Amino acid sequence: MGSKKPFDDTGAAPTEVKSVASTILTEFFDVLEKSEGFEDVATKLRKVVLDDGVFAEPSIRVAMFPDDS
Amino acid sequence: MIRIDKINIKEFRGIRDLTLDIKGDNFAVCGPNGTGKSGIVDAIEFALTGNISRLAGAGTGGLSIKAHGPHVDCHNKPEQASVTLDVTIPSLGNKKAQIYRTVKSANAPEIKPADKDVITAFDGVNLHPEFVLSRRELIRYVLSEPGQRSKEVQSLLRLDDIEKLRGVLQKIANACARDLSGLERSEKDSVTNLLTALDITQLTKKSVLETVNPRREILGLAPLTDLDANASVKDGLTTTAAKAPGRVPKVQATADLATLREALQALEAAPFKQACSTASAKTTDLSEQGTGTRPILPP
Repeated sequence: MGSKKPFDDTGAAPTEVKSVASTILTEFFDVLEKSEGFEDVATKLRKVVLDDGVFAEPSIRVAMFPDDS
Repeated sequence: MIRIDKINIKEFRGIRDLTLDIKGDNFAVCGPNGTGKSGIVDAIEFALTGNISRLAGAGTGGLSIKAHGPHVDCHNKPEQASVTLDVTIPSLGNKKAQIYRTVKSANAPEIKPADKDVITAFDGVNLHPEFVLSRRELIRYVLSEPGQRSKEVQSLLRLDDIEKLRGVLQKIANACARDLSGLERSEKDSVTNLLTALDITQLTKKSVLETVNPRREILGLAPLTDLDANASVKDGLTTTAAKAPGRVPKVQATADLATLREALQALEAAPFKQACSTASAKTTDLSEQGTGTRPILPP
């Protein structure tokens, strides 16, 4: 298992719990954000997908290719 | 993680009234078929998520929690079908809490104490419905074809969102791949045309600027200092851009063509040819006078 445990037995305050899908997508966007040239795209995609919960192709396209809109 | 201390199930699935005081320990349920073992698992899942995965998904059409959650003798009384869990939350310093949910209000559990940290802890469990794996799900995974196994894993871990995003990104990638060859050809042609126009062999920023700036100086334009995506070697140049031809009304065009045809016919007529011959002869005379072979007569 990963190092981030949503709950532990130490009595510490609970960290934010995400679904498996959200955790995987967050990790994906973190890696994408560190890739040269993809910083802005990663930020915009993260907002559309994780914050807004939108998976429609037009919204994803706008996030990836803002100049085309 | 939460530890279940006590389970109380009333009129739920095949269970009329059952209390299990398990004190946060692991436990196993065994018994003959049809005695309600799966009902206990359903009750725990229902209390924590408001859902029963066995009643949802493929092959469960027509089943619902509202209709099939309550005990068969209480199917018209969803308010009596309830599950109560007394739990301990280790991450909150072994804080005790209780969650109570009825089939009638499956989406509105009563949580005591209704503290923010307790609600957050229960929400965390709700975000991981995969904590319940039914026998059907496990068997379906074991029996699935190798090519379908990834889909079964996605189903078990509720990875629908991943698949949705993957599908959209794949679709966009395919569309980009289709457009790429045409764009690459266009880029190659443009580079070739630019190299020819500037009479240079390599397309570099330095070579372009060194070639363009002297020409811009001749035109009285300021030199370019950089070439970025928005730069144009024609920056500052006022040109009379060719306007797109306007639309010509068909009636007007027909009339113009008729006039042109008449004019052409007039050029073919005898009077015009005679006039041309006369003009030609006079021109010859003038030419000869100019060379001095004939005296210039006074008018």
